[in-house]
Amino acid sequence: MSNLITIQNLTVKYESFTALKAVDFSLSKGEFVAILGQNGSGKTTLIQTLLGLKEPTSGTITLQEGLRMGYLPQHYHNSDKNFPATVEEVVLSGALLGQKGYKRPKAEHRFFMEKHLEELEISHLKTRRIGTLSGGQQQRALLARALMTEPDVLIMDEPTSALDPSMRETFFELLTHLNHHHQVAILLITHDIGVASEYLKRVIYLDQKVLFDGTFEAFCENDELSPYVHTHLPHKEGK
Amino acid sequence: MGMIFERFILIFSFSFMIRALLVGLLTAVSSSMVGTFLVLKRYSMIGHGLAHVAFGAVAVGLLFSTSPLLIALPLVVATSVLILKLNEKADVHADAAIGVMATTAMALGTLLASIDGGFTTVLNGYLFGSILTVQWLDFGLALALLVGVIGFVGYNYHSLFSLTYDPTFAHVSGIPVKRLNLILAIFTGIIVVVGIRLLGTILISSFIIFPTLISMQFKKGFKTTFLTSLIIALGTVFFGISMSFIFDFPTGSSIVLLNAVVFILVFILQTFKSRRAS
Repeated sequence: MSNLITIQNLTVKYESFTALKAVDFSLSKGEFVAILGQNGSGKTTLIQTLLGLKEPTSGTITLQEGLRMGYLPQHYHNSDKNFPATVEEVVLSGALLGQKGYKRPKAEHRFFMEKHLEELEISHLKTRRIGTLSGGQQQRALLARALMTEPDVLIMDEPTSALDPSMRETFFELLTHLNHHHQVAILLITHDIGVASEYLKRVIYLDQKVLFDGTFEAFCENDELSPYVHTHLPHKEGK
Repeated sequence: MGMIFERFILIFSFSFMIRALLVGLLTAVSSSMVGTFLVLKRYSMIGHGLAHVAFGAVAVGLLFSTSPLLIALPLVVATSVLILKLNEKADVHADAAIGVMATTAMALGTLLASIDGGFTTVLNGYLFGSILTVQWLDFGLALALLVGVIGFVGYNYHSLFSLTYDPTFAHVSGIPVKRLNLILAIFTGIIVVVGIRLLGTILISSFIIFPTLISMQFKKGFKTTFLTSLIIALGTVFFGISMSFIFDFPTGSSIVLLNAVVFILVFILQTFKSRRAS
């Protein structure tokens, strides 16, 4: 299976502080991977470097030719409640942002927008200004925007932090649906492994370098990582 | 009332008034188109800072030439780009970068004026602007600017919306965010210089800020806000210049105060409307 993303020997430094040290991993089509780790372990740096927002100090990131990356930020980052944009405009921008010249959205764009909004249960909010929505509603609108880019891989930084527990379940079910039926690879940072556990296929545990890369079951049974597992997943006894 | 109407009609019999109206309307469209993105990117003060820079640049221009705006143009555009780069590279906050540039340029302008006392009066004219000084060359510049802005914004409308709302998402999706920001900065510099004759360095930033700020009060989507700000910019410039002629008020002040009155009225109206709705 060809890799969508290959990271080799990646090191990222902030002045004298090393955030990532010789990280290696690859992501293939259709995978569902969670990056776990304590605060300050380099998770967000890894995502930012992958997205091209931060330059690697050394090492390489190879993306499959023509790879489309969808991105969902940590939580609603544009705190401007008065930003004049409707949910519809923001979601459609996912499909339109590369277009040259002002064109009205095509019928197929509208069709997909309606479909995503319906799946995410926010159809009724499409004419509302995005700043007036709750954190969870905004997060779903931004996921719909990411889906409009028809991504091969969806990269998310703690996507469920603004969602209430019942919505978290629905959110992961939706990701699984995308993963299974549309073959969208999922790469996410989460602390929410309690909810995510039944959906994850693979776990990468990071502490500046990759300390674990394997199945979720093997992760839970890893002696060295049991303090993390016990804190974040108390009902798992480990070995 | 009849006298006001007579004076209004009289506007169109003076070629200097027609020139001022044309330059004002053309620049209003350019500045409100660019202004929507600047205000929403929280770069509102860039116009204000650049206007101060323009004061220094005009002083430099007066020292070397009889067409100071032609000297000021590249200087202001270069400063606009520098502010952007300082903000991007050196991690200096935009407001601090603007403050540093503006005060340095003002200091330079004042210093040059004190060394060569001969042009102090001319320089003061650029502080508040004067419609009497608007030339056909300014019309040419304003027209070329408008064509450039319409071409740029029209061609990149969707990308500009994305990078204004969420620059990270735009970058990740392959939008050349830095290049588009750079072009926005260049256009902002040109707008400031072209608008100086009409409004003066003190008031030019209102061209960029007010129309968007007023249209945002209607709490609509992006496209509606963008188009509303164009209409407001055209309306306030047309009636502002007309008022200044009819009542013999300074042009810059008339336009800015008219914008302020419209802003207050719309604000009150919207507050009243939302109270009634809730």
